[in-house]
Amino acid sequence: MPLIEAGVGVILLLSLAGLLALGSPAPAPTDPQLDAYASDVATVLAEEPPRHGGTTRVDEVTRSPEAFDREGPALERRVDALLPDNLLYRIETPHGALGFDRPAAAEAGAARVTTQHSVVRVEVWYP
Amino acid sequence: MRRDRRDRGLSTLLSVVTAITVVTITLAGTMVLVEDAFRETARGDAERAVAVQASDRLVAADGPIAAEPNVLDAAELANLSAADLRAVGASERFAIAVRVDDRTVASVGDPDGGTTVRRIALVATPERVERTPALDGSADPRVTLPVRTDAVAMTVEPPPGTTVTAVRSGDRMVLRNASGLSGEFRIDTSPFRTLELAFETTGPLGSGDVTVGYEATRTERVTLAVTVEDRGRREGSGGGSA
Repeated sequence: MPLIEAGVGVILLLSLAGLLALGSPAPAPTDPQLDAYASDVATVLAEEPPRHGGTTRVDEVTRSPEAFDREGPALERRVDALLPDNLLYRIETPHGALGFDRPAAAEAGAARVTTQHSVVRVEVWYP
Repeated sequence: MRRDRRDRGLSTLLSVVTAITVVTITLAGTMVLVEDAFRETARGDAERAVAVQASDRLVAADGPIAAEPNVLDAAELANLSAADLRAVGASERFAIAVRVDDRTVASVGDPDGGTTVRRIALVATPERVERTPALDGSADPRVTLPVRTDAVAMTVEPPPGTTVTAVRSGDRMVLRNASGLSGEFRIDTSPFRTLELAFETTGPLGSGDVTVGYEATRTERVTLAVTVEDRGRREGSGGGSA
């Protein structure tokens, strides 16, 4: 009899241990590395002088739809050059978005830049 | 009959002892496992927090090496010292190494493994740029330079027969001398707009008659990797060395 009780006790303890081993170290909801990349890209673009008009590179694309169409490809190339090769990105402005469509399952880091005209959102994720 | 009862009593005692031993050993094992799991999580969290914080300080404009947010000064980056790293979070417990594009520039405690946070930054190197704007040899030429700087040094050497009487930048008269401008002039410009200069001359002005020099910064994109290793927790004492 006591051996059966001990067996039950052992199973109980092992199940507790198993629960902790499997379930406890949950990953952080957002990877700080992705947030760091997103905020770095946003900061660099927000500090860089524009190619033509406006005060900064991000401000330039938010001035008007025409400015977005004209400067968008150049901004895309700039972000391509800034980000490490293993990352994809999306830049959302009021006049449209640049970059890639984010898959719903991808965990992304995000940052925002406020310009004179609107807010620009930068997202990066691992493909 | 008496012997049977005594045997049963003994066997019951033995099985109770065995049961208690087994349960106690399992309990001890479980506690060690749980403790390890928690310690590992806490260690990783502390490392990551220190790494994120240190990298934030390094790319901040008021940090030890950055001139502007995410723009690092090349000279200060080359001189990044252990004292700077201690100021951003290195200690006896946390070993920190800073690498720029996989080249170690500074380290305290030489971390082996640990947590790495990578940042995207630009390294700015100041350089002197001399430009000779292309002029087509006509009178009253205009020059547009893709420059945003607060001052330029302009040298005007008009050919014989030509007098440069004034230089305008937009609507602003920057240089004026009715009897002729010649030599080197310093012009204050706006760092917020592209430099446009309009010359007023009495004759043709060709390429080479005007040169412009200014301080520019060349920027280069780099990856700044900050690696942090938590030394205090690994020994298992929990408190780390003093």
